[in-house]
Amino acid sequence: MTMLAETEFAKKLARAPRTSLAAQIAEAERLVAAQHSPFFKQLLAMVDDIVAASHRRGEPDRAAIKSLASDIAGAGGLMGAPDVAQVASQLAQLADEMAETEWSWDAIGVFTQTLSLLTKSDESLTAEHKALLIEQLTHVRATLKTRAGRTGAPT
Amino acid sequence: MTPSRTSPVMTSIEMMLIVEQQFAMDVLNTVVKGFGVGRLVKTRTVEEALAAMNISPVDIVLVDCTGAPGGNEGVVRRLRHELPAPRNAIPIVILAAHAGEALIRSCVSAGASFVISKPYNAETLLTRITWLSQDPRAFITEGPFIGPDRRVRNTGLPAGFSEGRRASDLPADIGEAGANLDQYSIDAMLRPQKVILQ
Repeated sequence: MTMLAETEFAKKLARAPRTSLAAQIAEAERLVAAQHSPFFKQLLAMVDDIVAASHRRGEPDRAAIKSLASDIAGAGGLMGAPDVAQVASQLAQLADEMAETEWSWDAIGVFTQTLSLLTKSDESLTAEHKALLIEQLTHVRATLKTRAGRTGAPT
Repeated sequence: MTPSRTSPVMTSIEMMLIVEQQFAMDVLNTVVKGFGVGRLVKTRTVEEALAAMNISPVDIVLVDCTGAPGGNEGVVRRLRHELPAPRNAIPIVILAAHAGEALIRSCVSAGASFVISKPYNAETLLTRITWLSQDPRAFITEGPFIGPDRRVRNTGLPAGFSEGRRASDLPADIGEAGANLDQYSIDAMLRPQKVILQ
């Protein structure tokens, strides 16, 4: 029987010299931050693709939105842009909540506006932008919860 | 004074990324390059991955393919079943935006070595990858299942045996997907614990 600790991967790492964990993490974050602008240009194209595909289907692609929001949150965190990460995490949360309630095109509108703003920003969000986005997102989430309460759908 | 944490140098590691979205691929590629991974093979589909691995094996695979047929689980299942032994025993890590308990169990049943919930940060990714080098689990090839030993947690009796001291165990049916688990809860599901048979 093979043990996972006997794989080539495990053997190589067991033989490898050790280095500072913090240094490895810092180098990864430095490389991602250096790619900030190209990454966000790609994201903008992806937002457009998801919205176009959603309209073609007549139904928003929730899985794609959740995945994209998670990717943006991860990238924001790695790039040292906590504002972007925070807003994107709220988007991912909203995608989850929408998956469990009736769908709202108003919500997808806020989604796409928010994603577009996030991805058009070459720098970290301004405080005013962030406050506005969070206010919008909070409003949509509250609306969805109220609607779910009325219809008896799970929240 | 707290000693600084260390991690193995990754220059000898050959890693494959199977990531369908270009953006996610570029971010992940950049992060693992920062870790110092020696050779990176980038693929977008399981077919590309299988073809590349038949030419040149790798040491570990990271998968982020929610939109693939069968999702991430389908990709892992195909790698486990279609690669020849012992090549199919490589560690396979899934990166998943949807991280509900039922989905994590589904990934484990497909043969995933570990699941990391997105959004991930560099520390979570690096530490979970290095955990796999000290994984005490056996690699099982039994019937339709190929993957790390799943008997890491006592989940109770089979369906229909709900009486007695195990009455409070979770039911076998999965039901609706629940909330996403945080990374610590996922870790708790996947880090090996001994089973106590009574």
